[in-house]
Amino acid sequence: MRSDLVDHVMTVFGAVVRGLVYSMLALPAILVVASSFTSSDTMSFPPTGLSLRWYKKAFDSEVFMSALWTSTYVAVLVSIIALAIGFAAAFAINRFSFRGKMFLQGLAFSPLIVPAVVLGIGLLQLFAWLDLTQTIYPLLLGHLVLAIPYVVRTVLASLSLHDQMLEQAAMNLRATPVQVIRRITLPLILPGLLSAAIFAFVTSFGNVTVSAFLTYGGNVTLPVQIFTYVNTSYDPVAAAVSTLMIIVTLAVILTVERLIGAERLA
Amino acid sequence: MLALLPECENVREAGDFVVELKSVSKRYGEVLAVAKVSLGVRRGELLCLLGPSGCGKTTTLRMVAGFVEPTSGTVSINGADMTHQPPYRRDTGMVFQSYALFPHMTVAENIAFGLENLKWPRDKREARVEEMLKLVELPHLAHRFPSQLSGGQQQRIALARALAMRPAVLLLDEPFSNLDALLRVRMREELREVVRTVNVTTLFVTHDQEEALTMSDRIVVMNAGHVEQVGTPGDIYEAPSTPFVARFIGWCSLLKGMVGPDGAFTSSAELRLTGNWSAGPSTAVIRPEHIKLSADSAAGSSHQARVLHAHYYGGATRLLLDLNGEHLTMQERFSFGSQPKPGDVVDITINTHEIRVIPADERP
Ligand SMILES: Nc1ncnc2c1ncn2[C@@H]1O[C@H](COP(=O)(O)OP(=O)(O)OP(=O)(O)O)[C@@H](O)[C@H]1O
Ligand SMILES: [Mg+2]
Repeated sequence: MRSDLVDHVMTVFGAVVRGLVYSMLALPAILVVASSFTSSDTMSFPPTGLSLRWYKKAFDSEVFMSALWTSTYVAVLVSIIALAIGFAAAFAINRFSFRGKMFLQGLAFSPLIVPAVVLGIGLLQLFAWLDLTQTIYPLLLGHLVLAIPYVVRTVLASLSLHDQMLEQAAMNLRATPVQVIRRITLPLILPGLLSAAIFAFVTSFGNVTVSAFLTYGGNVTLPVQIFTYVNTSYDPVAAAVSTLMIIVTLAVILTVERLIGAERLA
Repeated sequence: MLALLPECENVREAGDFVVELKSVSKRYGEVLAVAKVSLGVRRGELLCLLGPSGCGKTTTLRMVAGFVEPTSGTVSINGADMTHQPPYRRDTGMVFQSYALFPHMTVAENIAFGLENLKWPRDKREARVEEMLKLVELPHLAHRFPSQLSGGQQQRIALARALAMRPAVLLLDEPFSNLDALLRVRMREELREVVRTVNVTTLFVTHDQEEALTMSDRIVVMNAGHVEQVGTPGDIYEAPSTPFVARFIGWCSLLKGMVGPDGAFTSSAELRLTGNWSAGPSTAVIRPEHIKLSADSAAGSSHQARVLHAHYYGGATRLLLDLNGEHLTMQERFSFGSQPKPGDVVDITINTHEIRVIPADERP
């Protein structure tokens, strides 16, 4: 009887804590989305009136739209390249024992340890020295460095769950190593690859700290653009653009999840 | 396959061995997993590697398939040296212990996989898949996924997939160990039948002596990485060439002792068995069926023994006997109620014509 009561209290308490944590996590996003529909001239909560005028302004804004395009373009490229490099690294770490394996493993994870600001300054100096600051490469490389550790970790996790007997069976059925990877390994770890791609996309798409150092006039990313904008003015167009960012991110995640689901059904 | 004929000499030398291992060893660090194993699998036969856990059966099989590279020695298939060839260049078909069916492919796609890699045209592939499904009596499962099959069905599909390519040799590593006892016996018979139907040379690994005795044409008994004996199931059971083989196959009592100049065996506990064996230190192998109760205690070669244990197990009783300090096992059917009890003294006769006496120096 007593323990029933304790159980009950614990359950309710747990639910309340969970609810609090979730709402704390979601609250900033909810505030931003809500205030983007305001009709007043300042960002405030609760919004006063309801209008889409800030969305119209966002869509009409050359700077924001080109920044959205830059961000999307960079994030997609980063996902693809990070996936290729990350898969290769994870495969090597998982399958082979070679000299410098520990080093590669450490290298793959090290960006998680180096503070982003340090990384940004370092890359800025490097590219200034190479005289490449007016190109997209600093941004691409900076984001790759951030994204690859996540990809390596995610792919390593799926590879270690993957049954290598299947690859041996394929090889016994006359499949060459390349055919084995293409027809057995990759299809079977596809869910892991797709979640790795999501990680890479989100890491690149939302990054401010490193991007701030590496953007130049011609290709500012959206988060950096919002950051700069909010520094000088406080009108709700920033909220509208942020909402667009959330929508793009969600769209990517949902599309990829659909892909995984479809693959599982097949 | 053309790749199989690089040296004509080899072909002639190989005779009719489909697979031949010559003095093959495999070392893992300190562990010598396989030690100088030489054996040949004859065309069309079912050869079984039998031995206790860890004796190197799987390692040997995987060296034939190409997943393990020997430390020394050579492996040839159809007369061609395959020692350093990767698995996908070897003409073998393997059934894995866990079946290893591809979970993202249907049964038909699984079976067609090898044929695609061999570049068979589509129509021939489809016909072959159908033929294989018929062979294993599962034509209605072509479009299922492996996860939708029972263990026995998965096993049969794995067999169909391995045989579809018409490999020179079929390799099986304890293929029944994931099945329950009843299904195991049925699958054993099925496998035997399928192998006979397609007449494929087969190398089979098991640690189950019954499986080996009932299925094989010949058995290779392995122990601690080396070959103890090669022979037909009858040879292995009736004429074990080492005490290890005798103990590993079937029940037996082993008596250490000496064969004197008169050819009679005397155990270390002074039990004397008359015969015509060659002199020297030896081990006598006495199987339960070599000992009978003698009705008449006056009969020539009979002994008096004390019963230590009596185990009744449906129909017959197994008795552990003490004979001058030697322990012997026998088996007998007693009428209800007349079963001896521990402590009883019984008269027994040992059939000295059937027992085997192994000279101690037969193996280095
Ligand atoms: N990859 C490996 N690394 C190190 N040692 C190994 C490896 N594979 C096998 N061994 C060792 O080699 C020996 C033989 O192993 P193997 O798997 O061939 O035995 P087995 O006869 O198939 O046994 P079981 O009946 O248990 O399957 C064992 O002592 C094992 O520990
Ligand atoms: Mg084994």
